[in-house]
Amino acid sequence: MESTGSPTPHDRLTLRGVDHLAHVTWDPEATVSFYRDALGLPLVHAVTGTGWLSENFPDFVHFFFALGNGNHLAFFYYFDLPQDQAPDDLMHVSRHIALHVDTEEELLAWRGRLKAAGIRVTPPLAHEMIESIYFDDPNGIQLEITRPLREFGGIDARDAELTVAALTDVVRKGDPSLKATWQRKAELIAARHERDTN
Amino acid sequence: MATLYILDVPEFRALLDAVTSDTATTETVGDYVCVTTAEGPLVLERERIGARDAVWFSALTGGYSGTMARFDKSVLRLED
Repeated sequence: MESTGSPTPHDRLTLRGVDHLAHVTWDPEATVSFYRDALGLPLVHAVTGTGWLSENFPDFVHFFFALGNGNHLAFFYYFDLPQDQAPDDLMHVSRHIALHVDTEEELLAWRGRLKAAGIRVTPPLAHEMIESIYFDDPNGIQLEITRPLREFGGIDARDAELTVAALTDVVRKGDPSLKATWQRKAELIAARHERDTN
Repeated sequence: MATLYILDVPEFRALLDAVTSDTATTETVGDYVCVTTAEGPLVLERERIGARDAVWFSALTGGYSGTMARFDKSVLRLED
């Protein structure tokens, strides 16, 4: 999404509700079954990644359900993460609240307002399809303000279905890893293509 | 044979430019671009595209077959 117009003055800044709420799951199959199948929330996007945030950040699958009105509920599944040994810093960056703005100007203006108020805030960080700034509230809750770099499309939803199907399969097998998830996903893509072309 | 599926969305398209293997071929498979080597490794060099961290470390999100011999900050190497 291209930026337009002049920079937004701080005193005119508004937010457009919640972009996504993020939580951690240890049971992706039950989570997908609950939100997608029982509640009927569309699964619209999934990203898989190695630990790029820091050296000891675990491999993960991060998937998003649409809540309506542009809002999303997101979950992280971390590989090799015992439920009773969850490291605090990992939960901190996972259980965050992301607020939505539309443009780069608004994102930068919000950053300016936060800095002017003496709040430590990160530079804008571009992910795959969003760009965000991060900061903490006084309670240690991580907040994020994010703008879309593009809208989710049908291709993202179809890809997300394959990602969580692959994740579910490897978790069921009892020794899940991101490598196994990627390899299972390649099998599912090939099988679907075979089915669709015959 | 190593195979990599790349989801055909804007942020992943640059990954195709990073494929340096001489023997790699590409074809469209549904929503994905399938990159395959008939023999030898499939190599992606990050320096060729300057991908952001979030994109580079999610480069395999479409799935792969073969063996991951290397995946670090600069090189992704899949082997038979």
